[in-house]
Amino acid sequence: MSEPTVATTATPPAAPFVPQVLALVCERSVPIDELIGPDQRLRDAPQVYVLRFPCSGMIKPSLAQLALDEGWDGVLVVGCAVGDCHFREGNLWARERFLGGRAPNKFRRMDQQRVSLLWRAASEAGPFLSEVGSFCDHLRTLPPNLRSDDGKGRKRKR
Amino acid sequence: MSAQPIEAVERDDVLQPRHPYRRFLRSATRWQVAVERKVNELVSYEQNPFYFHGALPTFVFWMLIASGIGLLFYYKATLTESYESLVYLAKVPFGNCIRSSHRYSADAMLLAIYLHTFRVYITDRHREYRIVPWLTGVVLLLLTYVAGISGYMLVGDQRSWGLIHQSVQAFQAVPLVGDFLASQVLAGPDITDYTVARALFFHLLSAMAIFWFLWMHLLRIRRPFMIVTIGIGAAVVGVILMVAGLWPAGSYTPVVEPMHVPEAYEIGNWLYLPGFWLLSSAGPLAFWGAVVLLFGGLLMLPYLLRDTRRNIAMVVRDKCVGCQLCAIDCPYSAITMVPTWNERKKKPDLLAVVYPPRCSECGVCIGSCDFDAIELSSMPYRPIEDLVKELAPKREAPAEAAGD
Ligand code: HEM
Ligand code: SF4
Ligand code: SF4
Repeated sequence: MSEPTVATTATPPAAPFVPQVLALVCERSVPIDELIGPDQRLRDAPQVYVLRFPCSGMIKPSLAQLALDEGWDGVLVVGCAVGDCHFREGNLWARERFLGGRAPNKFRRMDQQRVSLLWRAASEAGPFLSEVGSFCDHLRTLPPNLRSDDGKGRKRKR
Repeated sequence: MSAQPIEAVERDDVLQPRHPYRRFLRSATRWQVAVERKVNELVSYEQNPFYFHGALPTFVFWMLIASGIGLLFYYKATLTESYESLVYLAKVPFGNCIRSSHRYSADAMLLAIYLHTFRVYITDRHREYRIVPWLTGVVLLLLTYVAGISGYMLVGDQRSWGLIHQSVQAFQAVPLVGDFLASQVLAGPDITDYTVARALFFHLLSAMAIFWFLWMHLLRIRRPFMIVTIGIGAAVVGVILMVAGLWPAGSYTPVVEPMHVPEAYEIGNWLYLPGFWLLSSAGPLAFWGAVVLLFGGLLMLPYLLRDTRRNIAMVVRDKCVGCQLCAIDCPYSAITMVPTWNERKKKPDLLAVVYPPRCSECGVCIGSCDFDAIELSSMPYRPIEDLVKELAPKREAPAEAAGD
């Protein structure tokens, strides 16, 4: 699932491409309030805008899809270590929903190049930041996200 | 629209903890989680005993039931025969194995419960909507002690009579009802065959009561993790059998004259019986003080810190189509489906209803609902979506791409 035509036809941008990333973060996982500035962006990677949720189980796959439709280059979903959800099952359900195995996101798929799921604990700010870095590096190899449809040419209905 | 819809909700437990105790809990949680992640690296997360904190005592409890049934076939609950029946059991094939594994499973049970209690406490999983599991858990701990102590009273050796005499002494020190309680331990004015039967009765009653309280313990928990993996189960059984093989359970010297208070006896077990050491060295007041401190302290613990609750899930009545997905996914059984009249479809239908005391404010149900019919009361989803749209990178789409 990629965007074949866009980048090759677009004129190469003068400034280096900085992918804009939306991070949907469970507050109980990485210590996110210590990593972001007052503008809700990661201090180490200001292209990453952070939205906090009480639990990764609250993050709807449809929100990630919406972000991609609106032109965010990548979406990070961050929850607690697998097996250790503070609310017992939130990250299990989130993982299943994002992987397309659980309602309400059953059998739907999204651009797997641009969505990354991270399961990191409260003690793992360092590994989290390096994973964010490599995700941004990965996004830089992709063309900027210019689409406003669902990838199949249809306009997304909302 | 406010610029930061998420910021508007200040859930005091996670955002900028001001309370020093809250800050302590938070950093303690972080340490604990760091340890658990290290364990994940050693064995995989699927075999991490910390993640089976509730399943471990459950598993060991089943081992106790199994070996206990084995013991019941041979045990004779009388003054003279209790000791002899255990001597006989040692001659039966696997007899001592059954007895020893019962004894060491009991130790493992207490260790597993303390691990469980420690983990739910240190990771801040013991308060608010978890109050029912916590309070019934304290009762479970008490019942485990009753089962363990009454179990050591059954052996028929010097220690058994020592424990009985000391319990009588401790109960007699209780004002007003002391003599009554003491006579209940003895089942009469003195140590007789009935006393042994009474100890067996308490032993089995507390085991049954553990079942009953375990049911209450898990009432509010949807799909409790109650089964350990084969790896963990094999490790637990292996360690218990190994210890049982290396140090088979034995009895101390039998006592011909149980009415006679033994001058001194060996405590032997420091998991279940330290209270009796306290009783003999510092008297009944210190003993009851320690009991009240331990169990009263555990009962009080969740009330040290209260959250201001204002983010309970709520259902938008007109949007809910009764699909039940939220009720299935809610980890704390906080959502019930009730019959209702659906005005749009003109027919009876189901409606999700949140029972607030159970709600953990986690929002898992919001992720379940495809109809935007359930919301956290202080964190509606629509502004979040608006923000995602508003902040999306606005790029000049090249003409070719726009035509796609
Ligand atoms: C006979 C001993 C016990 C057994 C067999 C037992 C078993 C369990 C099980 C199976 C769970 C569900 C775990 C999960 O699925 O996440 C649980 C949860 C819990 N237990 Fe126990 N428990 C025992 C004693 C205790 C004690 C002594 C306490 C504390 C005083 C306690 C406090 C809790 C709490 C607070 C929870 C809720 C945890 C959560 O919501 O994440 N339990 N227990
Ligand atoms: S998931 Fe939504 S629509 Fe389905 S029962 Fe729950 S609130 Fe109603
Ligand atoms: S927020 Fe929803 S899923 Fe979480 S406990 Fe409350 S009702 Fe259940």
